[in-house]
Amino acid sequence: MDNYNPDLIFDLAAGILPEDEARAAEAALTAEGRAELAAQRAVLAAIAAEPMVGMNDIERAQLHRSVADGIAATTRELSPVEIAQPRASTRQTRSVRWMRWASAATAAAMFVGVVAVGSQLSIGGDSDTSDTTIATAGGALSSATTVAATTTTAEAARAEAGADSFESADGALLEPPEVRSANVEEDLRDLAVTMINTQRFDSLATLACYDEAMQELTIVDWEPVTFISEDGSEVEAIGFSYRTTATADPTAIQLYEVATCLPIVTE
Amino acid sequence: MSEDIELLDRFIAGDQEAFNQLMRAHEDRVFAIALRMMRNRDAALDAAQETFLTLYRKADRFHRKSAFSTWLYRVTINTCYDQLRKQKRRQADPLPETNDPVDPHSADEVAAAELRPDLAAALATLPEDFRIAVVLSDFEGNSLEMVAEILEVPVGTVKSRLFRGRRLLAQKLGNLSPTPDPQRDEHG
Repeated sequence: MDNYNPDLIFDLAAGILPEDEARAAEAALTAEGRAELAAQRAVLAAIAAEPMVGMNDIERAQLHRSVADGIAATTRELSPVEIAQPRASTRQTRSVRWMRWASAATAAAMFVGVVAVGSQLSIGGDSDTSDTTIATAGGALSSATTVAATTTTAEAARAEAGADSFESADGALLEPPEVRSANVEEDLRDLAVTMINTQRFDSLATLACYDEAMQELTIVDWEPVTFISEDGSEVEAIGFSYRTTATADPTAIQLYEVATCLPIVTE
Repeated sequence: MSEDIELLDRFIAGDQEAFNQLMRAHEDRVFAIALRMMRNRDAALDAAQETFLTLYRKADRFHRKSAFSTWLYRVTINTCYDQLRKQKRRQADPLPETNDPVDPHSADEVAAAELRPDLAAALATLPEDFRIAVVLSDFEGNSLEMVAEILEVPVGTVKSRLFRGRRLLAQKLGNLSPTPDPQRDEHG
């Protein structure tokens, strides 16, 4: 028997083995194993002796008030239907179709959009002509205020292949997507436009954190980006484009750090 | 159908009171997890607030493949991660990680977290993965299976993180001599 078996020591400390089996296993432990078991038990006992933590009445009232305030702010920005319900299907179909056409047009024009490093993202000035449909980014993005990133050819691609030049391979004029106001910050909206224009959405399943993110949010597309943090350092990140439902438009962008798969919250 | 799911469905259908009931049912647990993670009551309250606002905004994104509480606690942990990262960016002094010495400024936070100071200080030094596993399992009493679901890792990995986390705690508390970790790789 392996007398220093962490699994066995774990089970002994947890007290989940039958009594006879536990007694025999414990007797067979080496001195090192016994010390480890005693240490694990001591920690569990120390934790068990700790009181349960909870909110006091003031904190509870504070939480209720702050959540109510947050909800009120949310509902001022979006109606409850937009927050919790799927959106109309006609728009969804049109915008998804546009994405495919935009991709083809972009490829044909050999615009390779990249989110690159170097200078601040030029944003917001022409947001009323931004060719995308973006809705709320939800809680994870509600506190976002700035994304320092830069774009090079994506902006040019957007300008050149803009609202007046959505032409498919067969020459048919494509419908530009609708502009829809939302509580996404201008810079994130611009990043979303960049991501949608560049259309480099592939190999989803190879991303380490794809399954993790899929669990809680419906992820439809992603784009590698370089995020510039507040201290100026570059962080390789993946920008996910979310939908509110499986068939809805891309609605939000969330950045995840490649190295850790943790969401990046911008300030 | 579980009570949580029933409330969730009512909320998505527009019943605000259902949201309030969901919040009341889970707010203590969410706060407790946030407090162990953030080690500061104000920060824990902020994290709890953000968690419930996320619930409010993204309730329709819960896939119902797991228990509602599993999803909500995962949102809590992600929120704490976000806020810890924001703190790190704001502060010149990074939060204590791995085996670094405990932040000398953390004494108030330790007291505020209502833990035995030496245990709180030891907990604060754990790597995040270990600390979350210990908090969810040993402090909050969740089963290994539920912790595995919340963290989206195999049960074996949870056991490994718990074992190693407790081992580090024991060393910090003086219950075990520091020795090389015999379990270098996590269980798959």
